[in-house]
Amino acid sequence: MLVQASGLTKTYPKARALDHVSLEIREGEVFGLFGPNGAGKTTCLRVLSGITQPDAGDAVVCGVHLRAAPNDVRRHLGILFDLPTPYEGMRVSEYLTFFARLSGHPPAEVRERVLWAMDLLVIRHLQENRIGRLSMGERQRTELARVLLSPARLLLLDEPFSNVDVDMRIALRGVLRAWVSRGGSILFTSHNLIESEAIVDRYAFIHLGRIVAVGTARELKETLLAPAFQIEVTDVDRAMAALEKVPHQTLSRGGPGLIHIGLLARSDAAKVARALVEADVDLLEMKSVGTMEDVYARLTRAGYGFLAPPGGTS
Amino acid sequence: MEWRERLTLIWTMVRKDLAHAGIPILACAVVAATIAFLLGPAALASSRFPTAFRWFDSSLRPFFAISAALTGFTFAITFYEVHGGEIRSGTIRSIILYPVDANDIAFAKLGSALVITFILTTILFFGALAPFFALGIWPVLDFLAIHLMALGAGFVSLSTGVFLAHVLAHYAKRIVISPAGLGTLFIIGSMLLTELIANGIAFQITLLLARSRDQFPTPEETRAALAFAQTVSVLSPYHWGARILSQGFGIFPAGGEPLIAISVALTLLAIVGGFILGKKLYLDIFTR
Repeated sequence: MLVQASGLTKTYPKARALDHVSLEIREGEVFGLFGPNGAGKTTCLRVLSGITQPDAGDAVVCGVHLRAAPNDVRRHLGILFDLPTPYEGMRVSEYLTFFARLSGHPPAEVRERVLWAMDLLVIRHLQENRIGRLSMGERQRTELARVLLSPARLLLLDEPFSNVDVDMRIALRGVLRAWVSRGGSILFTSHNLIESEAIVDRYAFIHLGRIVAVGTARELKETLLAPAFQIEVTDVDRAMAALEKVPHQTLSRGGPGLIHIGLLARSDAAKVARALVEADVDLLEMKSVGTMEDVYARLTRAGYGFLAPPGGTS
Repeated sequence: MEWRERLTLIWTMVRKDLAHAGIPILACAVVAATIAFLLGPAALASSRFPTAFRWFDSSLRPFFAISAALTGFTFAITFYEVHGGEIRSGTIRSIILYPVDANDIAFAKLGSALVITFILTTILFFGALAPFFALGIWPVLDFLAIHLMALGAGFVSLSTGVFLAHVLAHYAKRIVISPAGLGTLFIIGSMLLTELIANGIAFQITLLLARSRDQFPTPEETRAALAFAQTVSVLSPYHWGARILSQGFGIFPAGGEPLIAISVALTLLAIVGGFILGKKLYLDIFTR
């Protein structure tokens, strides 16, 4: 385990930002932390990076006890917080060189590492530009280059894709996935749940400072969402008649050739396919329509109570 | 963390600060050259009456005071810029993402302030008085000793304030007074407590009290004021430096002020205490 946190609590004068947060992050996984604004995501990252002192609880991050050596833990971390405040007067290459040195790279390797990071984030052509003159997207890429320069085992990324265009997002997902495949881990926060499904291995949802659910996308959907599918068939009328026999909550026509069905249990999905085959209807496509946004909405609705997560951590 | 790694971190931060000191250095060089040009005729006139230079209390005091004021204020401004500037501009948010603690930041910023202050004030002090050194009127090594002593005294004052700010932050769990702010207060306080200035202040207070009675101060009151000023001056690192210089230059004999040892011990206690507690500080104190 790269992170083992238990009972982390942090209270600010006007709000409880973390309320007995416990979580575990394994090696080689992308762990997504999601929640509404003010839910405690950033505070959680700040506490785990040893920058903010928790009122209660403890964590071991990359083998370092947070309470014993809060500042040493950052030797193993690459951190990107939302709204970075870089040195506006510095040139990009100067900025990255400074932080490469601060990361502890040997002097002989600094230049090479900086060039590698600039190439990775496609900002080499900006190396002589001052940070203050970069666009928001270019700044974000520069910040990501700074983070990837760190010889870190765990990346803490708060909204890493904000202000980045679609092509670069896709490229960045590849970069981060490659980084994880080399044994690193990522703790990731974002508001974009749809996009996160392309990169996150396990999710934790935080609401009012409490972790309300932890698990993979599949586990969370199975636990929290009614199994709903969109089916594309050759003959909608015959298919509708056949599907009436399958236990369901909802059954409706979608667009041309499309049917939406909400089942009582996910295990009934096999019955859908069987019923269509028996009715001699060709099944062109069947896909789950529950998204992580539906999970999020389910978890953060007002009045939603505490839910024991499938992974056993809370 | 190993001390070599820590030194590398500190040096990296110092290097960054030094990279932006070019314009102040140029400005100081221009000011020093202008003053040197204006003092040139005076130096030439003095050189026509060659006498063996000798230090007296009355000649050491003003030069030490000039160097102390120059280095002290430059220290305060430079440290405020390099340490306080990181906090004001928010760039410290980036630095604290790395494995530094409050002491590393303090050492780096003190180091930056020391190097920049040394460069700027040496250019000003020696550049402005260059005609006197060039013509062999004043002993350049003695002046270098004065300058380095003033620089050292300012550095001790600043460091005491900086590390004491760590102590306060540790117990209050927030920045009560910024290291730059408390460091500046300690520099100003150390200057006010030098015998020269403390004498002046004590005498002014004695005079005001006497005038409120429509009288002038009695000789006893004047002596009491001077004795008080001498007593409190042991608290000032500038006073320690002046004592060492006066002994080195053969003006006063060694010893005679045992209270200085207590004052030095208290200063060391503040610095060591601030260092120990600084290791435990959570760095979000700089961003709240």
